[in-house]
Amino acid sequence: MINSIVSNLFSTTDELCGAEPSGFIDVEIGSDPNFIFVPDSSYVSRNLYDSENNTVIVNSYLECKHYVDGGWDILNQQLNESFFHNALYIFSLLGLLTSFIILKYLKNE
Amino acid sequence: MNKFKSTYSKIILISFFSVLFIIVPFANSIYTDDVYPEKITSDLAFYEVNTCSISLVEFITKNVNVIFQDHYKIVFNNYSSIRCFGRITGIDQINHKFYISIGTNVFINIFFQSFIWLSLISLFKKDRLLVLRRREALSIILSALLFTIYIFVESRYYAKNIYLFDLELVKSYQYLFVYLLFINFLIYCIFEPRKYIFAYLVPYLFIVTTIFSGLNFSLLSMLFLTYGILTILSNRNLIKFLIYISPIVLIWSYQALSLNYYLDPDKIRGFITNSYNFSSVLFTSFYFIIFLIGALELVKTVISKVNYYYLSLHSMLASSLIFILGYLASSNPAFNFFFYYFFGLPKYPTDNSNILTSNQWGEIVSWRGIYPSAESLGELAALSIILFFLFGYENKSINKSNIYIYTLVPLSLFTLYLSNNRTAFLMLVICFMLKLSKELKISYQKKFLYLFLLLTLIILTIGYSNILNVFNSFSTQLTDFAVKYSSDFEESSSVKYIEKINQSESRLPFWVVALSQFAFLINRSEIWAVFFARYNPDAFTLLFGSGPLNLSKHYSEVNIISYKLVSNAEMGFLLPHSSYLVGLIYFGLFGLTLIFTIWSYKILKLKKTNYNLYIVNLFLLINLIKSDSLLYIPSFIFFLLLIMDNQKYTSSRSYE
Repeated sequence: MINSIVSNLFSTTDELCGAEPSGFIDVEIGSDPNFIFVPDSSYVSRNLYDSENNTVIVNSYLECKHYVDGGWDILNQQLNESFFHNALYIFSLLGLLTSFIILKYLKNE
Repeated sequence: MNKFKSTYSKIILISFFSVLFIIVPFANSIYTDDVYPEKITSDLAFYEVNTCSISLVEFITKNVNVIFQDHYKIVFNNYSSIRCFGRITGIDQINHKFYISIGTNVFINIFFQSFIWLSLISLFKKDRLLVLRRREALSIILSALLFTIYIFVESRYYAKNIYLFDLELVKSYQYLFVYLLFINFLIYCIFEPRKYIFAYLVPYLFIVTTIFSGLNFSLLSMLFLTYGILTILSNRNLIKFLIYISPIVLIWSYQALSLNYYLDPDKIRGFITNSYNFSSVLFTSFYFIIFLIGALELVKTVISKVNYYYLSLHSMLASSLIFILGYLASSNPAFNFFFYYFFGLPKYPTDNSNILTSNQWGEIVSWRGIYPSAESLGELAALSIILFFLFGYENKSINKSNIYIYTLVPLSLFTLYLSNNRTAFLMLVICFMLKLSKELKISYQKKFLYLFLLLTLIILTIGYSNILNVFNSFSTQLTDFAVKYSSDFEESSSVKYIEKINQSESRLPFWVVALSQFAFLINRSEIWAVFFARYNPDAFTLLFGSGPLNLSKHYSEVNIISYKLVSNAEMGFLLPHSSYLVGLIYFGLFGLTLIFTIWSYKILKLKKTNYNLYIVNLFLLINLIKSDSLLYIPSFIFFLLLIMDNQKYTSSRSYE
């Protein structure tokens, strides 16, 4: 749950594929089997994984976005780690908030 | 009766939480799975297959002998997932020794270690109410931000320590900032109402150094940075100072442009930067200035209330504890592991349990206990005895003191003996003599006798044959070694200078011979020669240094031979063994002379106003010639506390 709350705060595509390049035009690929992704020389290649840990290397933002939209993601281990980080993040935010409220309360007392 | 009950319940509560804090995180495991720990043997296949499945506690229940047999070593693996915290991530056998690797994670360490140390601080009574105005809140936020930037600047180091956390993503820093902000907020809220205890806590920093495992900073540095920023925000002169100092910082940074040297911080982790490049020099220079402002401010706040006699007792207790805990850790792998982690040490405690070993020349081998440097440990022990003697002499409460105090003196003396810091011992004797001659107003005959005894002691410490050797070929040992340590193809500018004067003049300049003879007498010929073989300044760096907290350039710029000429042993990470040489790298000749002049002037003033502190400062001034204690945070803060004249600040009351 925590994972999904925090994930919704940030765009997953941005997280996995990096920031959207300026002037990016989203192309409707659908399930066209003849579509060829043109590699972008300025784009740093990334690895994406499916639920069975199969790997695909993406060479452009468009290609990455296409795979992410299709459910490809990062490694399970990385997902685990992200879950814990999201939990720590929420814990820290809640901790800050609670401490601040307690301090305010004590001050008023 | 009620008091007894409350103390009793407090002890139970503390014990309960201590066990909870120590045991529970290392019992992290899935107990419902089918993986059960096995007895450790030379066949390690089971532990190679089942990584991250068995907790340390589970493992120890099956292998109790690991706790006390010294051919086991429990080590941390910071590059481990959060899920794996406290679990066995692998076991290796090298010769007869087993290395049991325990998974830890840098982020969990920040939280876990902070909670432990802050819980300890919170046991002290509050002295004042916590005030959290905008300025304080801003300081906490800015300090957390600075540490986030610090991690960015040192990302090369953290890439090896942080598991699956992309330091190239902005979002990662957002997470880091929130973690650090929360911890920083807690640190300030817990410490601020209890800051009166700071002075007496300083000696214990030698035990609990508070450096986060896997990180290059400590809880203490987070605290100092917050106070530093707070002081700057409240003082316009300091803002002006920062503006005035900016040009030199920019030049330091400019010098590092297009360079990228790296240094593994090893035992000086927490008070050194590991990269030398534009951003790292720029950041670290300001970081150091703010750190210093914060530390000075805290020291100034508490110094007027410090009772040096009590400080001496705490220091003696700390140095004795380092010896006792060090001995425990040296012979017990479990203690070694837990002390490193829970005390936030930069380096594992020693595993040499033979505390009285001698080398082939019959000299005692220095022993460092849990502290990373034997030399600095010796200084702490000697200083604590000096403080006890100087301030106990005047303190009437010494007569009422119990036997426990008198057991601390021999324990501290023994720690000094084990550290094999002969300069500290010699300075201890000189300090006694100075105090006695001042207090007792002794006759000239007795003074002469004292001087004779002192000279005899110096000769015995240095060695009669060594003194004679000064006047023969050994007088140029420093320069000869420096040339020999240089690689044939790569020479530092210092070595080039030495070769030039060797060729051009029939006699070496007086200062070179004097330095060489002095280095020989204090057994620093070889170590300082290694320093000069590496020291490669241009005109600017020679005058103004290459910026504080940065030794990466010094250690990476010029390659020298990789073994020691005298012992033929591997060079390893050999520090310059002189705080002044470190100062020369950081601030250059100009900066070093300026600091030295100001300090000497202060010492001369202290002679008239506060003779005891004058003696202590004299000890420090001389001892730092052959010790690099200022590279360690605890020593740095302890010395800062002793350098400040407490009589300058008005005192309301002293804390015991």
